[in-house]
Amino acid sequence: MMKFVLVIASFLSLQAFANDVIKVENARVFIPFKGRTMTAGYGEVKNLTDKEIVLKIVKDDKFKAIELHESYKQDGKMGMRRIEEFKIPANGELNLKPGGHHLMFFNPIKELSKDEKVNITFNIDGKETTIAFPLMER
Amino acid sequence: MKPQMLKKLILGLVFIVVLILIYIGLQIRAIMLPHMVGGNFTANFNGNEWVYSDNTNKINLFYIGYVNCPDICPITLSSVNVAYNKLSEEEKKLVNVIFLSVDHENDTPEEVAEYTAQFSPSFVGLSGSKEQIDKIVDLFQASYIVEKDEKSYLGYSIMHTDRLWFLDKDGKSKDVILNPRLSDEILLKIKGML
Repeated sequence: MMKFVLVIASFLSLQAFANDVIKVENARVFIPFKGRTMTAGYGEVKNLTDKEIVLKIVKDDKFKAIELHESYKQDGKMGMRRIEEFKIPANGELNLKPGGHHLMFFNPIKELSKDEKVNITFNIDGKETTIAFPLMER
Repeated sequence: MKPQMLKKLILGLVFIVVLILIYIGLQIRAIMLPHMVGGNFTANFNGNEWVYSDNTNKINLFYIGYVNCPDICPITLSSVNVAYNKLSEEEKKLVNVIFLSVDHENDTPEEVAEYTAQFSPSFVGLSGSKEQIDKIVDLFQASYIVEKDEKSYLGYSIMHTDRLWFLDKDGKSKDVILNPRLSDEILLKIKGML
């Protein structure tokens, strides 16, 4: 019985982070530091289809604004820029990680706690899908 | 072999040797440069003048960035903090961690101090006037570029030198860790200097 409950629980947990197009592992959004209004989100986004997908950001439910960003290295300096879309190859993966591609969040609309999730709506090749990213402290 | 051909061959070899020497020289310079920078400097800590030579410790870790940097700066300070927390209380007393914000337009001294202290209360967050900041940046042969982006919610970002320096008591760089840097590497370096 316990095994059955665990299987159902893990299935439900997976459903929170996946659909039939993408799956996000280690999804996380850091709660902004005290006095700060910006933060970043990371995770490994897997393309479950056999064709390249183009992922754009639509909205989220915890911040006033969300953007796709990439950090880049140039002449010994680190810079960061907003980008319009992420492309993920067929059956490939995009690792959203510090120092690389990541999600940027601006101005939380309410006080955030680590037991909450940020529901992020992506546009994937014209179709909208929402994925829950857990909030955590740094 | 004809003398003319031999001459061309020798000239060609000399040219290749010169190119190799130039390349080696540039590589050595690139490796050594981060170790030959720094010095005493003055900044603003929480509204008060802060002079490096008055606050120096056995080991001084130094990083420049800005408070609205949501990615590389917090990751660097978090990695430093993980390493710092693996030190004994006695060892911690010998280590300073200093963060300088180059965002003189947006980061007040109080904001930088508060931001930096959230990683560890002992970490020092410095700010300053544009002149002070530029002087320090020059001292470390570092640089920063404010990049405007009207389409972005924040409206700007700052490209900045990404080096974690280990400074001696005079503020001179003894060592440097480039990106990517793990907390274990930072800890190893600190332990090696204690």
